[in-house]
Amino acid sequence: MLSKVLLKKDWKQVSLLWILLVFLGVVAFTVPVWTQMQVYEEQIRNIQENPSDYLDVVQEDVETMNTEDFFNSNSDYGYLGGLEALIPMGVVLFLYVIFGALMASVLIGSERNSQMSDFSMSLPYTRTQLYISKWVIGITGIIATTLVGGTLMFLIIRLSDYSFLLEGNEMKVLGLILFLLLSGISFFSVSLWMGSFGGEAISQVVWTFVALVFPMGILLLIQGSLFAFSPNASYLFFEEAFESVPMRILSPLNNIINTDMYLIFDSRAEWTEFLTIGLSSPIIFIVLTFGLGLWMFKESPQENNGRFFMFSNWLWLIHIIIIICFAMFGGVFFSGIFYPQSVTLYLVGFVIGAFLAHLLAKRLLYRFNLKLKS
Amino acid sequence: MLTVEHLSKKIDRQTVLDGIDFSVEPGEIIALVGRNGAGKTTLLRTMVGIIRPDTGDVVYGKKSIFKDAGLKRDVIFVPDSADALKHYTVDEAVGLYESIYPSFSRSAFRETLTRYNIENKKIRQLSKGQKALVTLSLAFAVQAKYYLLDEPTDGLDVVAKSDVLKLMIAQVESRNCSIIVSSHQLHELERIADKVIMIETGRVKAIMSLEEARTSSVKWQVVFNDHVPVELLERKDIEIVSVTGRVVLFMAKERTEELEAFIDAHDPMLIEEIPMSLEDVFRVQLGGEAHAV
Repeated sequence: MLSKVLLKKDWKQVSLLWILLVFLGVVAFTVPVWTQMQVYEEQIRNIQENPSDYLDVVQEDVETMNTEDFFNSNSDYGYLGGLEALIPMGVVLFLYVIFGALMASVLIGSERNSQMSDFSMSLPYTRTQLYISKWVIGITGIIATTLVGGTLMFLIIRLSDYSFLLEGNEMKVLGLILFLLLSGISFFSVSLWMGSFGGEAISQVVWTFVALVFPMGILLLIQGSLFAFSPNASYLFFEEAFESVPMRILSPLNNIINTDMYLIFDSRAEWTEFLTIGLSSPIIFIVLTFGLGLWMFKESPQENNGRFFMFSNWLWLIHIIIIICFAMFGGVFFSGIFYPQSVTLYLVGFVIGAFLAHLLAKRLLYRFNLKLKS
Repeated sequence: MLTVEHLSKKIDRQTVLDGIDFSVEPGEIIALVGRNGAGKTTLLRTMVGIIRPDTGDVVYGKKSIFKDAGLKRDVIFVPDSADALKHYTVDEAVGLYESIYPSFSRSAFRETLTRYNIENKKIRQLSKGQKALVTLSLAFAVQAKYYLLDEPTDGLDVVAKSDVLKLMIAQVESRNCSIIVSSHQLHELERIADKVIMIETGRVKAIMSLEEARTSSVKWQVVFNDHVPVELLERKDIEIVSVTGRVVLFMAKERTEELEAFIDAHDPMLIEEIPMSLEDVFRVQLGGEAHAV
């Protein structure tokens, strides 16, 4: 099923980004750790040199305190932080979002922009083989980055004065590295899938952004709309929905938000939940997006390359969804900027949002079309 | 044999291909002609599965090319530009083709490269003519059975055009492969093509040999005694090429007895049949300006 020739061809297209991802990934995994250690050292030195400034938090004689004492959250000493502050989750995830979208858009969107897509499709390989090759070349970049970066990060902590933070927490750190890996693959998979929504590179990136924020965004818009109509109602349902398993599966961003690194190191229940829901959600998401991406890549009408949305039979549905989302956004925005909230303002915002969205959708869906040769 | 069966395709609710049927015999060069937007490129792209047809099939041997992608090792599509491989050097492109097509002959490719003195540079750095030669040479070195060429001489100078045509003829002569070539350069096609497929608004208007194409229509130069009769100029079934005094040059889609009788009835001094070029056939059959084809 996997063709070495196609891997070679795709490597040629994406190699620069792939290598840059690994390089920046190593930087993202290691430099923040080193920087945070410098911050800790600075803080400890500061406390030791100026103990009078910290009397309210440091209740012991600082001269008798060793480095470990500053990281014991259960003692009376000043607590500087823990292992969670050393692991650069945010930076690495940001890198994966950006490079996931870039690599996917080079692998599919840019191909659609040029005649490379025609060339690929005319080769003696199935569309399934073409898609799998692109997916594999992308995820190997994320795997390589995570393996190299994660290992270096682990070693830096292990070989530093803060290695005591790792004691008993090795599995949790490995779990978080695995979480970063799965999240990275999730971002890439969804972006590659969006290559069959958008007919060129820019629209693929736009659709990726939409796919990432849509599950949470639509829930927030519904919540905001209901709040505009009945501000005093209970919205516990939405809090539960945001933390629900289906939501964590459908939205990698939501899964990340619901993963509390501090609690993972501190609470056994949270660690167990992380091992089950936290790690299985991206796996399910990857399986779903890979499957949908493959199916849509096989079905995508090649003649619509260059268009904002490939499936012209479904333009009407996308048009309606854009209008509804922007209308709700307009309503929530208008009702939110004034106090007290007003249903009338919501409706005004709704109508304005719907109208502007209609104009935008018309332009994007029906007019924005690179004139490629057909 | 490569057979196109009832191929139809709608794009944006417009019929772009409408029940296209034809077959390609080994060793044939087929000229695919039609006006801009007639569906020539779409047909070629559909034949190799770049575009999926709504109905119909392309059968090679007894298998559908849409169900067995491996068949495309013998059916090569060459687009009108080398854009796809622009980031490759010539040698890298050879490596890619070698790994995709086991039948690729490096020596055959080198031979062409040496003949036309093409260096191993990035393909985007080559001249337009060199790009076309490299793209075609790569495809021909695959030693496939069928080639679908989309405007291979588009934008080339006369020397490069001649080189490309020579390359095509050499391949057919040496390997008995078949070529379907879509082009607007009708005077070139008539030098090499065995058969002509005329496409009009997604339909096959006619399939005929070049000889049949030339004899199906007529081009007459008639000199009248007095003046060119107005009734002749007003006829809808002919295309007037020129009128100079008592001399009229016109083409008719079909040679009919009625037309001959009409001319005779107006007492012409001289009737001379001018040989039809493919461009003339195109103009009279598909209408429109010769330059617009």
